[in-house]
Amino acid sequence: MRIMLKKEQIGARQFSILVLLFTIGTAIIISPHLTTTYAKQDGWISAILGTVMGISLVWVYSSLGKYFMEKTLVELIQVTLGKWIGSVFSLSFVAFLIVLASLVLMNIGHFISSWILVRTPVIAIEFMFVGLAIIGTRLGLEVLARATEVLLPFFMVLFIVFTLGLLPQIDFDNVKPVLENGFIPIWKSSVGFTIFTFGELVVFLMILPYVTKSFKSPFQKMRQSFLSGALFGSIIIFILVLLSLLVLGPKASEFNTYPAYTLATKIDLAGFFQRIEVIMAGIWFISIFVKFTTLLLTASTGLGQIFMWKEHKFTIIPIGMLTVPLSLWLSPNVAIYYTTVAYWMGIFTVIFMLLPILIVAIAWVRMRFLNSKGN
Amino acid sequence: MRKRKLLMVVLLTMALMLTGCWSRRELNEIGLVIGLGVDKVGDEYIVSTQVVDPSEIASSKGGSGRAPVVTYKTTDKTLISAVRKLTSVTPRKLYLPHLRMFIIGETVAREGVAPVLDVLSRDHELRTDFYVIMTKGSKAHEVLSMVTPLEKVPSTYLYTMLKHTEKYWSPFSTLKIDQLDNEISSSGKETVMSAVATKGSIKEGQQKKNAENISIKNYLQYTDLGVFRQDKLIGFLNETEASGYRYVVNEIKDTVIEMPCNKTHKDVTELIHPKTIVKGKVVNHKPSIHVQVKAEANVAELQCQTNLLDRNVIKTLEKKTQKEIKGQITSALQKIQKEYHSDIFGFGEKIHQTNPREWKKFEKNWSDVFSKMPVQVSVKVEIRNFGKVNQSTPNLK
Repeated sequence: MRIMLKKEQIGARQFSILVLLFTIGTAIIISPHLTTTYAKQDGWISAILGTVMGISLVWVYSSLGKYFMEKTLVELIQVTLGKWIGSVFSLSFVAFLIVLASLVLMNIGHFISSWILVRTPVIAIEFMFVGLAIIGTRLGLEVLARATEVLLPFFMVLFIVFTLGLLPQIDFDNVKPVLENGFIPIWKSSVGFTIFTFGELVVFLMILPYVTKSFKSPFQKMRQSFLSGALFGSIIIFILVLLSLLVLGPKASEFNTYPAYTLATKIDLAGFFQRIEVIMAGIWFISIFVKFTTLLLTASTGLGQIFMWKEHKFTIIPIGMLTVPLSLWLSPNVAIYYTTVAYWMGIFTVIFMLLPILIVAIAWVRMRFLNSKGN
Repeated sequence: MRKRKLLMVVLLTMALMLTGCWSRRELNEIGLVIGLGVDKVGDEYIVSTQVVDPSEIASSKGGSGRAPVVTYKTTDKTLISAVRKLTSVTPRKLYLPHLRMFIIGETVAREGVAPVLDVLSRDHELRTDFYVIMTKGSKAHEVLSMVTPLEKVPSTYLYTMLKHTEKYWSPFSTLKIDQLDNEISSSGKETVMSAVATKGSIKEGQQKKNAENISIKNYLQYTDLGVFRQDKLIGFLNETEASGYRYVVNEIKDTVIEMPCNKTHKDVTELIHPKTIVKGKVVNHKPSIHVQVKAEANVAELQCQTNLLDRNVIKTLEKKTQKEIKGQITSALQKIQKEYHSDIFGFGEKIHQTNPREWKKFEKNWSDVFSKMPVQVSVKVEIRNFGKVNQSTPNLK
């Protein structure tokens, strides 16, 4: 059954870093907006609540890990639901990954074209980004995982500079009054936050089988690295949401399309350490690159596993190239992204977020049924 | 192997073409915009754009005698097209990120500033680190065309002047675009804006020889603090009232307090790190505010005969300083509550923060509630240092 990537293996720490950077991914650009939409100045509470819900989701995923230690999600679907029905589910899952990748691409494309390279067409920026991602993806999961290990220190240094640079401008009045409108708006905001930040982690059920098992208790180790990656990622996002609220205030966090960048423009230490926002943008260039390549890789391997191809790498270029027009077609502007696309994407994410749980339930029932029949 | 080498060559050649030349702008092709001013005549905006000539600023040999900056004036219904129109007048493409001052003419301020602010937060070239000020009496265009001493670029002159006066002298405050946006859209805090005026003759001030004299006759000066309701200017606070305002909003960093010691002379103390705590509370559906100012002070100047080693002398100095500060605050409160009815102190925000439920009832007619609201002021000053000597110098005893 296992054809693809058979020899590829990544370490538990590498897996953890991959989860960390993927969780941060696009969330670092959009989470201040997501959390403050309903909750306003209580957005940070939404972020905490969302993190709690998200981590429990990851806990559920890692508990299902026993089923995914040997088989990827697509493979498990194929085995449990059979060739035909399984293919329908698997293909829609792969399609979901491709759409997700194109939306990630749209985020970075729109960001660069509206803030930094204004006269450059979005399509040129997106092609460059995709080109780089294709090269990375073709080198395989191992190389990608090692690359994240190299990128993480850069990411952390930039993020620490970002945070320290903003500390002098913090104003605690911005988050008062706490709980002005009760818990309902906070709950509303945190649901969106959970779905968009943690729901997409379902992708890692495609990568789990490649995590090395050369430990005493591979399952415990896997669960630990999955949870710690997601937790550290969400802590970073929480810090960002908090900074956005404390420095920009709830209104600006909500109305700025990219609050993280606006925050970076505000860094000014002693009139000397300033105008570094483009360097700071490296924070999300790194995280979004990791997220995009992971999605590209899983979509391609998933497709290979559905059709049982011996080699899946030839699908990377077409899928990568597909994401560019798809991103422009799905959300021609940011307004459509934040309203229509985000709404439908939320629904689909919930569906695919719950899919593995359903599949495992079916697998479990079938196994019991077959066992009792055998007895 | 040969294939690999060929690939390397191709990739390297491609890299040469990818150096970000797509929308490049060479330094000698752009004009650095350092100041923008807006006036209004009829329904058209007059946008004055101050552009720097870098070779005149940077040259160490004194330059060629040309003016270091040029202020262009264009008229259009919108700001952005007025700025774009400039391409027909100036040889350089204008570059906005180095903007230092945005100057709103008094006429525009009275009509409402919201329409001119949108472009400031929307345009990707503009950052958030420039100051927004208004003019009093004169036009933004006139302010931007004055020749200034000590600093070749008028906008930089205004910028650094405001920065320093904010720090060492109490009445004027800096205002940046994001703060302005927040205050205009907030119902619990109204805006104030430092106002600049031209002194002397504008016509002579625009001549180059204005900066050639040692004593300057025609100059720019921050004079008042403009008070806004929503986005419209409704009046001014003079220096004393403006100082009072800035004590309440805890903006004062370092200033001096003058107080009479006899009929003709005055003593001066210097305040260091004054700190204000404003507390709002609602009792029986009636809001009230308590303003507490705490400061340390040094003795800065004594004109009367005083021996500072006497404890009682220090006590009286402290009391007088307190009384003076309290007087400034009350004068500001009086003027605002009785005359302007505009909550520039942010008392509404305080009530909102402490009593969110009650605030919902006040929010709609806040300016009425605010005008009648009791405000209690208490000031505590402690004198720490005397300076280099501990008695007044011309000690006649």
